[in-house]
Amino acid sequence: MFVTEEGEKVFVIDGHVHLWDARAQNRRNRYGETFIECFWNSHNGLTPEDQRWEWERFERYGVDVATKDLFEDGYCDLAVMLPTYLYEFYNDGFNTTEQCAALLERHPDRVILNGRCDPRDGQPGLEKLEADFERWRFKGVKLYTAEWKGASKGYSLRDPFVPAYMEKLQKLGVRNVHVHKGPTIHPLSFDAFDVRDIDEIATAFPELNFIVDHCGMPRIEDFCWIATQEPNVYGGLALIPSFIHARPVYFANMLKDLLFFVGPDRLIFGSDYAITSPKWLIEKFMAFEFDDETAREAGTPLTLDVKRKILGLNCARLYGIDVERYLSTPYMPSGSAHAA
Amino acid sequence: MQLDRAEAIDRWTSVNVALGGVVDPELDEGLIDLGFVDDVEIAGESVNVTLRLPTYWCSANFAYIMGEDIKSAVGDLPWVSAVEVRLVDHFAMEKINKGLSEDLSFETVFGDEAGGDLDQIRRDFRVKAYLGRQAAVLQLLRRQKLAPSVIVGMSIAALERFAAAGGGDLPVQVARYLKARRAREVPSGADDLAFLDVDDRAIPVSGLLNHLRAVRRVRGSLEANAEMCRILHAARYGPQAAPFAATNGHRATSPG
Repeated sequence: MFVTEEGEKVFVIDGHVHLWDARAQNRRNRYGETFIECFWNSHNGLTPEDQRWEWERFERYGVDVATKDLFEDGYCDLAVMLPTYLYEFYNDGFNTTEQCAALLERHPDRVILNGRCDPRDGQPGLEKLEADFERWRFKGVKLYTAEWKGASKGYSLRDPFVPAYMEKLQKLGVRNVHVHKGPTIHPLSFDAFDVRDIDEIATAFPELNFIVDHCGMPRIEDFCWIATQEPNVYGGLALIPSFIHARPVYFANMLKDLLFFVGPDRLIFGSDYAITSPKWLIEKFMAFEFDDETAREAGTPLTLDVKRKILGLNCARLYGIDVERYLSTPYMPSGSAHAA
Repeated sequence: MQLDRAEAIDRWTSVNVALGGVVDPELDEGLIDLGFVDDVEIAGESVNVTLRLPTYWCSANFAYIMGEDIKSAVGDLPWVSAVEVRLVDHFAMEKINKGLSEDLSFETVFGDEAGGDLDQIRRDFRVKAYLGRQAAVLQLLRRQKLAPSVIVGMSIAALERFAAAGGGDLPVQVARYLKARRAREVPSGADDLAFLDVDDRAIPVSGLLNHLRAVRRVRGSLEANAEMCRILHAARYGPQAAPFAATNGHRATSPG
């Protein structure tokens, strides 16, 4: 929870969080090195200097550090964890559901743990998805369409093996499908960042919500267009707020377009932790305002109401979170007294 | 062959000018401006260009397009007999460098790994570049308080006259826009309308605001991506580089 100077409470969910292990002993190859290198360069390029980390911490930070960064310092009432496996690059996986579950075990009330599936895994993958669901009862999954898998260097949501997975998710009641559409590794296909496959799958599965991570960042213009047409497509902002320090003008431009085309009810804040941390992002975002021209083009000023939706209320709706309950019992570090 | 100093400088200059015209297809900005050209070597009639991109994982297809365009732009210089492009610090550099060196197509080099074809990407991004450049011109005209009816009714000749008289950034932006428009083979005679919508039709006065939004969205996306690339490139090769990122010692030689 963030509290403004005027005493207004703002409920916060970080909609895009990881708990990764990129230490040398877990890296399988040069790909494992260069993958975390990309994250590290984003971290350094976007984070204010006094908030940057040491390399050793960045490789693996663990549950204690994440607890402090997200819940103690970072204003988060809850955090959504999005697993990324990458077994081709990391021996034990990069950021698996199992790894992420460590944070859930520490904070059962504050962590929304998502599952993960890869539609290329066929029938065994469907069985694994069901077994994972039995174990963790997640309400969402992450699809990393750019993930390498043997000879395959990625897939599209148009591929014929995808609908069986969507049907399974629908049947299990797993309604939130987070799809990575943004920088880092990519399939070798004709346009690595194409977001147009979202359009068809979202139409075919209207009961599912598709949260497009990074708003398809290299193709925000295409994403905006698709999202205007598909009511069940959401923009996962992660990476876009991170521009707020290093490139505030570009941040305003991107958010302006997203607000106009996608609207304030379908944008979800994320820090992409630990690429950067929610504390400084949320402080800057709460202090950020549009000038008159930008507000006109966005169709709305960046009001407290809009900020509340982006920072938590939209995500709470997707995951069925009781916001009032959290506002009345803010996070307390263990060892300190609980709020009355 | 011994060149005199003036001729050597001419050659350097001509290579720089040629490279200056090569853009990142995804960003519609020059490779030199983006800092992607790391090194240029000229030995007699041979030119070697070293390319380094913001990440190890930058799109192989865009890298390939850049490589082909460098070869074509530098190879067009009358004194050049051979151009080699060397991409470094990239996941597909062996394949890409070999393919470029042997003038193979992207599809031949990557086989089944590559879906779709590179020409289609080129076309898609030519459209984006055209729309993005149009947005830049429209924005400048709007700032000059031109009425919407004047903007949508303006001919290419009138736009060029207006640009020449207006000065500032306008003449450069208009030239860039018209170049991209001609590359798309949209009719671009003096009397043709200066601005068309995304389907190459006349823009009604009432539709100008929506059209502006559409093209500005494209431009905003291009610009934001370019900034992300600059940020990553600077971080990758700056003092904060990851401990293992020290590159493969490719800078054996330097220009001059």
